[in-house]
Amino acid sequence: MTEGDQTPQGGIRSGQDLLCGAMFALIGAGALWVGRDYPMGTPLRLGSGVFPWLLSWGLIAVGAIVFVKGLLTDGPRLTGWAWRPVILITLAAVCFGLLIEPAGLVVSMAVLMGLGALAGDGHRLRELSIFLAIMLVLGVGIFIWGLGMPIKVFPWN
Amino acid sequence: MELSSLLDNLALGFSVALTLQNLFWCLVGAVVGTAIGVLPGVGPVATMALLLPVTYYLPAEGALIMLAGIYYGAQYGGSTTAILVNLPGESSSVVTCLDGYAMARQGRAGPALAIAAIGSFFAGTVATFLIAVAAPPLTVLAQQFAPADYCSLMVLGLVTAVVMAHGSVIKALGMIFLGLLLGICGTDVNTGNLRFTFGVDILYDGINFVPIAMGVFGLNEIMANLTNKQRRDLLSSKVSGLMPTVKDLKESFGAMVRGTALGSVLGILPGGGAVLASFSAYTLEKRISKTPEKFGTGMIQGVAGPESANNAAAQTSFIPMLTLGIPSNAVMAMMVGGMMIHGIVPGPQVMTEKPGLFWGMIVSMWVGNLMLVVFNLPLVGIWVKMLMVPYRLLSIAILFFCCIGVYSLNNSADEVLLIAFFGVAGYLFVKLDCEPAPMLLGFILGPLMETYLRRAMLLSRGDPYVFVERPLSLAFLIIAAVLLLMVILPFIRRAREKAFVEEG
Repeated sequence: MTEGDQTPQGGIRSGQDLLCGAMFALIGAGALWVGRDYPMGTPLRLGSGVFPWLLSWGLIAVGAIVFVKGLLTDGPRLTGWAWRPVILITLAAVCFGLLIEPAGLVVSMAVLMGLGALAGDGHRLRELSIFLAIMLVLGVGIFIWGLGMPIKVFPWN
Repeated sequence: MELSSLLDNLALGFSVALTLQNLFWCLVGAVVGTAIGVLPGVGPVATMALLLPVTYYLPAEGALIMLAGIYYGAQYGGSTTAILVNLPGESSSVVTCLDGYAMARQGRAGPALAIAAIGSFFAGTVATFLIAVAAPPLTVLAQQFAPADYCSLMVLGLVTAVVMAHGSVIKALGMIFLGLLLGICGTDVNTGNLRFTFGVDILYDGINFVPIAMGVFGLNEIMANLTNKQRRDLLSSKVSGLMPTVKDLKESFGAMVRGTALGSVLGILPGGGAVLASFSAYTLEKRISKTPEKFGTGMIQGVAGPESANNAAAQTSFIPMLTLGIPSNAVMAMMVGGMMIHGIVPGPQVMTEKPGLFWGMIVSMWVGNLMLVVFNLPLVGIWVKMLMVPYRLLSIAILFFCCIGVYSLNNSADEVLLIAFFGVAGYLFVKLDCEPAPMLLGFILGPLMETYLRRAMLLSRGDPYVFVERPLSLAFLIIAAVLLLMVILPFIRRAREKAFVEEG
């Protein structure tokens, strides 16, 4: 399942495990801090704080073990992120969320799919424009006419 | 279990499953499932997440029948791609590539596809019957569980999910803690206190299941697939001569029976399901074969065994969900999500309170399997054409359906932002080699576990020893501890890793 090779990485035995351990431990510590004032209640009536407290410490413990494992044993290194799809797909979803109510379905779909298209490789203009046109008709057809969703079609509706 | 009540139950099931409406939803689920099974890079979890908002508009029976159809339909579709393109359409069909594609290269794609379908149908029939027989007594048993027993059972379920996870055990454990923590975000139902809401209003009611599942499985899969370039060398040779010979059938019958038995058992175990079943069945066939060296060169047992096993497991994994209300894998977590959308709390009471829904769904699985085996082979041509749609276009369509699907659930634009967040988080998890499936299980079980923990403590007047004083609870905890020890102890761990690597 692992992608990375296992060559030595300048003292760090497994960058992947180190980062993973740090992530778990930080989330655990963060949850512990955010939940520091949640009432613990009594053994008879457990308060809101007990379960989060247990889980936070669980996460910290797991994080520590994974981190130490990354220090002591050889493991996969971190592989590079595919920044373009990650950023563009995320941006596409965010734009859709921000645009759907003020600008309506057609505009938000166009922005979403345009950004989505930029995330992939090898598009041909003709093929892509026909595909996007079909998707727009399908989108309006299914969700506005079919399911009757209460959203605008165009910004001026 | 008396035979007459079994027949009564099945009759009730048929009366629900065979209504025109439910037949239609069953067909939709099975066909959609096959389609996404055929397409590499689109899995049943993501598809079910996509369709969850749509099920909002359906009656509960139709919704669950359709969702179930997607899962077993995907098992049929996955083998088609594996055999014709040498790509696993579904991760449960990875091993089918080995001998299925080899058969296709020898011009025996037809028999390979037919055996896969027949094996799946055989397994589906047996597994459906198994559910019908096993569910009622298990339900009766489950109704006697005290809160402490339930709590320990969930611990056992989560531990088994950790043990069965493919990658690192400790990371799977971390993902479960993370999921449990995410599951209890929002207003604490017992006390009304707000937890981990960060002052954001959409978090007051807790994080919705759909955006988290779609982000972690849907968006994340797009991101990952757009980076991993896939080769698709489609066999151009026409699929001819579908019918397997008598010799084929004879050779594969034993493998089907063994695959079904193995798959049925592995499906019930938490964290198991179709993927593990198909791998194990292939290993088993290879091990007991007189000619193990021929595996990979087009042995029909190498298709029949795993394909029967994955379908059997896909179906028996419904047993713990239906009887105990505890999902055993990410797909079952989706089913629980689908039930909750319709206000049904999964658990032993479903069978007694909504027998029509319960038995209708079980019978629909058999009906759906029958539809699949009849329709699937004639439709192979269409599935092959569908593989021609390039992923760069498909990804745009999936992206759109994810976003609009989440929005349509509550007409909430904020939840679309949530899926963006979980998409990135999901990509990070994959990069760190952490499987997201255990997190989803934890997410579903988090609030349940806390509720049962509190109830158990209240009933025992604050005495935590209740968990070890009740025999059932103690038994669950001991099994959980033994399982956990087994994977942590180095020598057993090495054997487990070897078992996973063997066919990799």
